[in-house]
Amino acid sequence: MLEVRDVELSFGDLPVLRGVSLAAAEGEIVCLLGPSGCGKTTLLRVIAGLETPAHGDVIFDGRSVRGVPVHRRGFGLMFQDFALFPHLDVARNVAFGLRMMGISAVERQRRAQEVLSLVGLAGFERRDVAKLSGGEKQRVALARSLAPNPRLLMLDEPLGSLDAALRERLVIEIREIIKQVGRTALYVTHDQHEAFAIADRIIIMNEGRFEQVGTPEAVYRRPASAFVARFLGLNNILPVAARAENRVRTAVGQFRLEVAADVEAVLLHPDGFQPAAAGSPEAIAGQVERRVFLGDAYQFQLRAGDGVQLTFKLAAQAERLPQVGENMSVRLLPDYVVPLNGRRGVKG
Amino acid sequence: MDTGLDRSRAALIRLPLRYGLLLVPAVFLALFYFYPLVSILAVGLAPGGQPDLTGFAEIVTSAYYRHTLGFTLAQAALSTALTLLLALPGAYVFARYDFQAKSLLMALATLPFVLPTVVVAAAFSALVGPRGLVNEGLMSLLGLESPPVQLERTLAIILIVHVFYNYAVALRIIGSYWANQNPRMEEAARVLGAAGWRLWWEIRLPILRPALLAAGTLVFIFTFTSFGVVLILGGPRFATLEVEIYRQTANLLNLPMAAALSLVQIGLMLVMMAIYTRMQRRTAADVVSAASAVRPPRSRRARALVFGNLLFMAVMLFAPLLALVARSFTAGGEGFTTRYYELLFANVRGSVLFVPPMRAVGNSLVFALATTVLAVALGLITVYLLSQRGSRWANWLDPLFMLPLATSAVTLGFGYIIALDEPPLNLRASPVLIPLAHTLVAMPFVVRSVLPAKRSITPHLPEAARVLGASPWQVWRFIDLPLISRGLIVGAVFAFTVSMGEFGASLFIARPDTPTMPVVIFRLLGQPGAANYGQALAMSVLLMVVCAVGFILIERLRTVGMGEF
Repeated sequence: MLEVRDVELSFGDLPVLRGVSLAAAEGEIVCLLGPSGCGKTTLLRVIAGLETPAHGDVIFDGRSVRGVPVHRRGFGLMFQDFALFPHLDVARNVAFGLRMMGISAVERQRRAQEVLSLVGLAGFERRDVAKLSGGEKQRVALARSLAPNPRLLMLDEPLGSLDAALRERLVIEIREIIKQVGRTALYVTHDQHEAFAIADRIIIMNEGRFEQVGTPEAVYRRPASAFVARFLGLNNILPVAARAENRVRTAVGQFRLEVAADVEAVLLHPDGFQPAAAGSPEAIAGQVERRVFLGDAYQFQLRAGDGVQLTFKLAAQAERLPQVGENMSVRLLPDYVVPLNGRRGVKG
Repeated sequence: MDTGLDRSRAALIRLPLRYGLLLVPAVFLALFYFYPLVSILAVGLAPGGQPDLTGFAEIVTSAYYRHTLGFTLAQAALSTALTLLLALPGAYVFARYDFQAKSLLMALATLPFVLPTVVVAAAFSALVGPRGLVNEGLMSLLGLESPPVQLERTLAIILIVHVFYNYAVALRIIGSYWANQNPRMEEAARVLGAAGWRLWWEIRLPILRPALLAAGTLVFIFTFTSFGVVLILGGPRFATLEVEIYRQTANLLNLPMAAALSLVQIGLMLVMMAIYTRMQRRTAADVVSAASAVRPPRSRRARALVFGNLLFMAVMLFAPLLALVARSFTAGGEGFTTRYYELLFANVRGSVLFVPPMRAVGNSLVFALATTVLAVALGLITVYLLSQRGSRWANWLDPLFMLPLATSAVTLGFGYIIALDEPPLNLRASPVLIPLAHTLVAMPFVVRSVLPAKRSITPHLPEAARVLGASPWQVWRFIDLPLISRGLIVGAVFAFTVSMGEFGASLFIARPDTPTMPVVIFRLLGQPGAANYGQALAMSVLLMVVCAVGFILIERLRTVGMGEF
């Protein structure tokens, strides 16, 4: 089990990690998600021992790894650009860690073959790594970090340099492979779809802090802060003008919340919009500014009262959908008004 | 009237003119490079007009020549190994750490490249020679009668000077290759359990292999052809092929033997140049651009590593040069004096020279100016010849024009005295031989400085100018010239500096009444007495200043990424 306790680190005057703590259970895949420069890669490097934190500790299986040099930690780390050794062939790259452990050549070869077939590269042993395709390199890098049977597997944007279609396929494969070997894994990415597909739990990072921790569903459906919502592409954020015990008032109307105290803003989650009859009590009325056909749905941009812009999708099979310039009324399903707490209430 | 007929007639006239102009460098190369080379071939293979290979047989059978060849190779191998070993930590520091004045230090480290061998030999003699600063200091400190540091005429001093010369070459090649390698590879290896020597042996060295081989081959070539350093500092005990060629010619007048040795030398050089070209291509192909891993040294160990390397570089670079300046004012040991500089103007009776030493400064300047003009003119034409788009010629002309760079100066000088001293081309009595030889050595530098700039002019630029009404001459004057001027000036300064410091060829062909500065320094260094020694150092200081100024000009004008030499 991995535990990170209150880690702080600065590069010169620039704070990169401002006191972060996490715990990952045996066999869990935890994903660090955030924009570039948020400190997610640095946190991996601290755990790997490539950076030394100014404060805080990393504990594995109850023992601190502070003072244990990189090469003795027994963790696996897969780099964004793969960092395959150009002077070694595929099998030797994969067996490198085993060789460092002093494992016999016969055993190394057996293990390399085993891991290579696990990642779907059986028969690639003698290939030159420079001549592999991007996806093949990625698999070799994964095999190399898996081969020594690391206590903890860390992956730093492992699909970052591949094209979108390949990414979509590989992320599912990686999850299956990690689950098959049953390792605890930390996965760093800036791509929410990748994070949703691979993670048991997601940590959203911003400026060296954790903004929200939760299951992919919870993070997506109930973002804790305006930053998280925006980062996930959920932009219908309205400031709260007034709040009562369990209601908030915004520029486009009143909404019911379980606890309304302290709420500074709400997210009108785009997945909760439905067409409504004009003039009905809960309806939000406005003018269609943009209508984009997406195949299975239309994306609408609606200009509602007070100049507020709302974006949402409606299924393409819905009766008649208004054209650009026409008036439109929508309503929001009750559970899709999400209270946002600014910087407070980080843990979700 | 400008009719179509007139125009095509003009083109007909211009065509031969154009090709005639392009022929000039070819004719120059044929007369002053290939003709002497062929003469060496003739004298070496058929000394008496009849095919006669006894010279070669002697090289193979005689223990003396086998030893000379063996020593040439062994000292080059040792120098190369030592240089790479010392430059490796430096390259690491420059590839991985960011620190103040980094680019200035890198530029300074390259200074030895333009320093003439005689100056460097004089500088090391002023530092660690029997009359050098170190020995004088130790003698007065410990009250000794004889100099305790005996480095002159040892293999050690030859190796030290070779490191001095080639450290920056290795540092640049290895450092820039290293900086382009993905730093994550090392981290990946560490995460997988590699540390200490295993990290060096299993990751760093294999990854650097192409750069190590390229740098090693280049340093080997430079030290294999070492002439001035071995001749001056090595004494009679040591001789490289180059030194032996000189001795066979100047001391023993055994021209067939010198020719045979020259042919061995040329053959080996061609093989090594071919190897180097292949190596260099590989370093260029393997460059992987990676996220910059350069950062300031933070840990105490990193700071010590950076500081230690910079200290080593500074001591190695500045100690001999400062010693040279200091000793040029204190050579006799009787305190500060400008006497040796004043003596340069005097024609001392019984001197080894026929003229006041200061005359050599004038000679060198005149020769260097002539060389600059010739090298720039011929180099410029060559650049146009080589940069013609879609030309089948360019591909094999390029290496052809670089050949003089692969030929040692001693071979060239030897070829001149056996080829150009008799009809049809008797120039022995003429002082033009020196600028001609220097032009051959300098021209590749001009070509290498200008060619990248010329190649960067896309065909659209002159086309646009022509559409806007510029005549061919105006196109050249207002488009080409401004774009290549920087490279042209760098090339010109290179040519000037190379000519000022050229020693190997000049020693063969300089006439007694028109010696150059390096030749005078060499003659003075070979004479006993504090006066001669002091004058040698004084003149070395003057030559060093000229070359250092040239070096500063080159470094300031050189654009980033311009050809490595």
